[in-house]
Amino acid sequence: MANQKLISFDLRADFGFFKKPDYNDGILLSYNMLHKPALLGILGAIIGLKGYSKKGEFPEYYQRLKELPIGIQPLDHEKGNFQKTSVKYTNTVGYANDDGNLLVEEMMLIQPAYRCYLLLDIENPDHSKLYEYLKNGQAEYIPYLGKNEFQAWWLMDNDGSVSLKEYNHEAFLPGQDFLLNTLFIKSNPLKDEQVTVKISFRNRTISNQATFSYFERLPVNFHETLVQYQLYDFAYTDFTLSQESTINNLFQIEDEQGTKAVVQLF
Amino acid sequence: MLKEIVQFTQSLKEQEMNNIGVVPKEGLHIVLTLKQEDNQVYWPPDGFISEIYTKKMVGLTSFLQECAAWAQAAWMVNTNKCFDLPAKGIHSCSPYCLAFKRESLKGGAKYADAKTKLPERVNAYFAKALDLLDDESEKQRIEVFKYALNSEEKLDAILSQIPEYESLKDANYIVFYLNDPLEAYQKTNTKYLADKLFNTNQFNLSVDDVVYGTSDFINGFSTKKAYRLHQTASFDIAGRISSVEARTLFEFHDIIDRGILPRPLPIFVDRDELKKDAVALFKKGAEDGERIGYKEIIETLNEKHNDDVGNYYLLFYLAGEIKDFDFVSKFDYYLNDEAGKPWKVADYFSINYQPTVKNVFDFQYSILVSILNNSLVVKTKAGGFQYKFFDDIDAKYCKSDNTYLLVMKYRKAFYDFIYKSKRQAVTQLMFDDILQTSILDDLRLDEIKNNRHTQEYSIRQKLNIWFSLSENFERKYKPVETMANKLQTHRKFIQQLTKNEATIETDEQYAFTVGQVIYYLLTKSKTSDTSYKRLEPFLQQVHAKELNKAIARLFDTYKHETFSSNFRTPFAEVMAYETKASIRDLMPTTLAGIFSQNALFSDKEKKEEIETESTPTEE
Repeated sequence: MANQKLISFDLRADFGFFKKPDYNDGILLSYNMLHKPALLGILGAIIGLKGYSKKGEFPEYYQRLKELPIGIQPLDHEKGNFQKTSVKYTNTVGYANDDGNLLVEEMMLIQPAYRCYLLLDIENPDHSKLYEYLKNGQAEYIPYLGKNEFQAWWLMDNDGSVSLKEYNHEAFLPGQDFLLNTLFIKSNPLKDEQVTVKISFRNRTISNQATFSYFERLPVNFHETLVQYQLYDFAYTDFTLSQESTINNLFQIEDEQGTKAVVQLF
Repeated sequence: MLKEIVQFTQSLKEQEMNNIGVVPKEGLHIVLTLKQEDNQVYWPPDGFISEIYTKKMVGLTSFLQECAAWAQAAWMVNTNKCFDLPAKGIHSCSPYCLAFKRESLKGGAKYADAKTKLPERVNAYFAKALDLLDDESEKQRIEVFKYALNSEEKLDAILSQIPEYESLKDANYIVFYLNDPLEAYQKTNTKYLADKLFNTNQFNLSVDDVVYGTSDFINGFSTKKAYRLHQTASFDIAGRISSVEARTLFEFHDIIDRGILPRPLPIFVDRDELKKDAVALFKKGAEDGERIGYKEIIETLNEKHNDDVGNYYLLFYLAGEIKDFDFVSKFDYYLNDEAGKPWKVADYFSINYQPTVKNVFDFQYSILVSILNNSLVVKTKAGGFQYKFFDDIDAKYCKSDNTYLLVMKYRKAFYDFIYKSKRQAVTQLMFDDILQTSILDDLRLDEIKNNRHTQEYSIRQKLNIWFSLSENFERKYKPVETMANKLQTHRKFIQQLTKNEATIETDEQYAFTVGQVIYYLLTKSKTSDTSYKRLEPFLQQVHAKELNKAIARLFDTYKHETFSSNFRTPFAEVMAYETKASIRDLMPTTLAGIFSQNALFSDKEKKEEIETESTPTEE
């Protein structure tokens, strides 16, 4: 624990596109949420690790960072969703198209923003470098959200400061109902984890009036044999979760202002 | 996405929806029955019965129902996976069935061009189809079936006995079935599909006794597109699916192509009760022969589950392509303003148009039709509606080129707003852009017919909508005053101005007065063309200085006319006012000035104006 640092930084871009590899005909869809393999790629770019280079071999960033526990919290979203738009590209150059023009239509995210939590082991040189680079707003390669035209940043507006925050942290074992700030891996139906709406007849007020639950199947790592994303069911909600919930890998964090929150790192 | 579709298809199958809405191919269906005597199987030349099926038919005979079920278990996955390569003329893939289009026979469009005529390819087809059978005696029976169909003469002999054959079009099918149980068809079909459900078998991998391969569901290998190939990735195939998933996706493709599911299609996850209720509604709609719409489904579920509908994927599938697939966390049915009251269009511009817009579907059918000139949500002459959220739209069917551009620019946002409850999708800026562009377009297109402005109603209707609803959309800053409040203030102000009790102090007061002055001056014209086109030179101005010059020129043209005393002060104030603000930004106020009751007329002129004012009628 002494070597661990739990930090977060806010990653933003004008657009984002995290391609779903399900199919390749017609409009290409994007995951709505930043997922772990994509975040690891961004972190790898920041500290200068190599990306895809050879068939049958996982990229350097994945090999070196895959054990890093991360958490993701969407920012400026609408019930978990980001606005999306579709763009059509036409590529007419001959060397790219043996059989006519290349037409691609992509659904992209508009102004996606995520708070990324990282549990760094400072004795690990990669983690240590990552901490320094994030703190100083430095990057070896330009980070982007899915496509290199969608450059990402974690600098705050105008003043040039970085959004990096450091937290005191400890493992969280639900002893009471709690709110979870990040996306989390859902192993049971969410309704079994939620605390139902409570109505106080004395005050005539409604407590725990939640507004939404968001679900998405997101990649967490690669299947070693099939060499493809392994997907897990994720949820994100503003419901209060029950103390009996079975959600794992929870951490209670406290920032410099003393604000406490619960996050899941996976 | 595939996983969600697979789970959804399982739900459909659990509620036995996989066979609803199956119809035969349009064309001639002929069933051959083999006979057996003394251990000999043979086919008597008259041993067949037939029926024709056209899409105009209402209801299916039991014969056609049986044919439809057989065909479903005998059809190819696609032409690249049929048994008649490279010609691709035979579309069945079963030893019990032979199906092709009329165009492949003598007299058909493809007959002359075929190097090897279809009847000559029948033997090769059956050679491949027989591989699907293991039982030798069954193979012998199929040989007899084959023998009945494997030459032009034999096909002619059967078809010449069927009078309906003559009426077939090139695109119609001719399908021969062997009168065997459906189970036999299904058994061979399973064997055929086992090999064909993946896009290709080249990349199959076996993990824990489950075969994983490349999905064939709207997926292909574009080896001729260099930019689509992974040049350096660790993998050859980005995502393999299991054989069970491949089979389920094939079934989903089959079901959705029947047109029995709503569009867009809500696919519920996490909440079983919603999932079951939704599928029950699809099923009822399909059984009743009507495709139940998204609106009806959501409204029914919303009512049953106390406005707590959400957690579903919304799939828009059109013509074999996925156009949109997105998650909806919560469906917000009602449209309420900040005070919690339903949206209401007020009749600010005197046409008696004041609908209440309680929910997103009221918005779709009432407001969207009007503001986008019947081009996105199209109200048909028969009274129904068509939706162009993802279709190709031909600009010539839109009111103007600008309307076409507005539809193409904003239709995805409105789709998200209505169907996915994404309130941030439509912003006030977008709404203002649509209304301003649309009203200016109407002004440009206005004509005088039968002594009436053709676009008068449309313009006033849009102004009503604009001034009533604009603030309800997503906006960056909460306005202190609404457009509607400002309109009332401006109307009071102009009354004071005409009486010399006020002076123009703000740009908005200037813009409103400009609108009143221009309209007043134009009424002095004796031209036969009094359409609103004449406003264009003024509305195109950007700088107040230039606009004032244009108004001065207009005044100069009619200076010989008599002007009311109400006109003097507003005109003088307009001429004296200076601002560097863009006139374009003040457009809503200028338009409001033009279309509000004009305070500049004298009582006598007002009477004449009323007499010549056209009576607005709905188009």
